[in-house]
Amino acid sequence: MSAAIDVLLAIGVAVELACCIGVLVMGDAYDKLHYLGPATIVGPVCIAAAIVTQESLDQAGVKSLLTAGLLIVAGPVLTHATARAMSIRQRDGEPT
Amino acid sequence: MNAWLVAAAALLVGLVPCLVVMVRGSIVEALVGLQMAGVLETVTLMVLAEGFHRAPFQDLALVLALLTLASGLVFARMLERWV
Amino acid sequence: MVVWLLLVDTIDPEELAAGAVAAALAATVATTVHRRGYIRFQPRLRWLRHTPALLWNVLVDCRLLGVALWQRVVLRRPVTGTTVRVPFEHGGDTGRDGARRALVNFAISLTPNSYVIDIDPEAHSLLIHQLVADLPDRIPGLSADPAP
Repeated sequence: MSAAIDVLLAIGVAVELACCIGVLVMGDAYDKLHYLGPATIVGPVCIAAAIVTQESLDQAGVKSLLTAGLLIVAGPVLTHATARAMSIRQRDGEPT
Repeated sequence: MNAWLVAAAALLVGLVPCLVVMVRGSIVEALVGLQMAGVLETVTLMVLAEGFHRAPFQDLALVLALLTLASGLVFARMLERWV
Repeated sequence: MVVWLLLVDTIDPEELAAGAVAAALAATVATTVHRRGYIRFQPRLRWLRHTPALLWNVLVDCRLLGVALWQRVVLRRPVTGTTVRVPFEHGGDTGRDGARRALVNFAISLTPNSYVIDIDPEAHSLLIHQLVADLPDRIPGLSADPAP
């Protein structure tokens, strides 16, 4: 079980760090926004799974699942809102 | 030192690219970097809570996730027309 | 109430009472908002049938983004996204159409390779940005229920 926790933790951390690098190296804001996706889905799910594997469904496990669920819902909402803001600024001739 | 604290330390390194984007990028790119940093810190708090064996720290992660969502929406709305 | 009990992890009478008060307040606000018509949201249960395909698309898109990142960082090739406009029946101001627009927007933006920039009601189309150009029929929800 310890190996499973370590693997889930490693995957979660690797995905988060890869997404940070993606946000850094990709071209414009439209391209960078895509890397919020795996950061809000895969990373939190893996880490919540690791916490649940360690703690089972006690208070820590349940809260980690709630947090991961909240991030999964928040990711697409934030992505769309940011993309729409950039689109409106471009249309109005504001610097983006 | 346990695997959770090592993971948290590794996650904190991810703040550096986010900071670079926030400082050097355009205003919308900075917002993307800020949102990424918010998500990263939420996950870091989840891991730290487990590393320190302090279940109440999970509340911090939950609240930060909520605040990241709310603040991201507010900033995006402000950027549409008022900044 | 369920979320309250999950968060406090106890069924002490004081916590049950506090949770009941919080749930009552939340239900009152929700009912008031619904009655005034500020938010019209009436999804269909059968729309959930798209969930397995959506989850699969999320995993496939994560791989696409990983390959794109590899190309950018290791192979030093430029990676540039594209914007596509796809037909989308906007519908009216009913709760059903509003829910359909919101959930299609959410489903497309959930998959990492695509997200909705804007919904154009006059042109009946969606403006979607993709990092890696992909088939439009992989975009979830666009081949869903026709507008009534």
